[in-house]
Amino acid sequence: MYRRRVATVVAVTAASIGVVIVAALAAGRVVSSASASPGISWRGTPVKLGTRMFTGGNVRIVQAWLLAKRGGLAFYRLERSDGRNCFATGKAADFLRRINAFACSDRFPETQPLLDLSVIGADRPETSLRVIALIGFAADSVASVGAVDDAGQIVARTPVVHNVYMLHLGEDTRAKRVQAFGDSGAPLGAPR
Amino acid sequence: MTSRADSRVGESMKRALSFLLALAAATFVFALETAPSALADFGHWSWQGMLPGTPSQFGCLWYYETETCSGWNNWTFSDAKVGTVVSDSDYLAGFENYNTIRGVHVYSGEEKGTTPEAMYMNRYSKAMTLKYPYNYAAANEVFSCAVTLGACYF
Repeated sequence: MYRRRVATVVAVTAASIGVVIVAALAAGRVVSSASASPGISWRGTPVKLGTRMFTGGNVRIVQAWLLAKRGGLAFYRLERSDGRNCFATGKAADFLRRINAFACSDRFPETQPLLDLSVIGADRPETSLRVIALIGFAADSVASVGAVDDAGQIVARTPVVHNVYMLHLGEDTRAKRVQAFGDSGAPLGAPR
Repeated sequence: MTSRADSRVGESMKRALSFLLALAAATFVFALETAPSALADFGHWSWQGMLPGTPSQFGCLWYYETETCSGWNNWTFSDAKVGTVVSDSDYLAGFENYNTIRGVHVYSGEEKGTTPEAMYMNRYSKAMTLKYPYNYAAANEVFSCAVTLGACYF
């Protein structure tokens, strides 16, 4: 009788401890997933950036995550001390120390599918601006990003992996605008 | 008695020395922290206004009617954001020289910064902000800035 009571107490205690551990783990998961941006499900790896570029005044980078490395570029998500979520790129070979382009938007990723850092330009004698490299960050809804010409024809397209895209087109391209595409291959929004 | 007094003097000196060392260390750290922002003014260009139709202060090399540009310098960083958003707008912010123009799109509600390195260009250039496409009817205020060192802020 006594043994049965002891066994029951031990079983109940063990079960309670188990429930507490499972609850704590679940809570931890909820807390950590809350640190990802809504619409950007890939969280990446926390990194320490040694730059204060674009953080003038009292603004500084509180936290940075490396989302991916593509085409020699590192892609970061940044959290600034003013609460703004920003995104940046840097040379992957710089050991995550320097940023060479950044973008902050009030619309991305909630209502705008792309936060684009594509290189646009021209070289004389050509004066018409073209898309020289597709570079940027994409919301979860975007499967690929393309460059289209004046007639809307797709000149080049690259898949979005871990919410980033990168494709170098070169100076001789006829690509004029950047276009997001969904899973079905249909365009998302107007070309930009 | 004398030795006790000596040791008291020694303690005071140690304390004073520790204080001075701590003060020197704090001053050094403060100097390191503030130096880049102070140096940011060395080679700094900023502009705020509407495009197109704003006379360029330093002369642009590509799209005279719809650009604003800095003078020549070894720019390391260019930053632009759209201020008063009247309607959807599209700007190009970046750099140019006689042969090449490069930039990133800046849309309503965005702030973007770039470097000549990210644009596959040499540092010696003009920073520019361009209304794009250049026949856009709507006009929005744009803030532009370029520095040779440190950070841009508006």
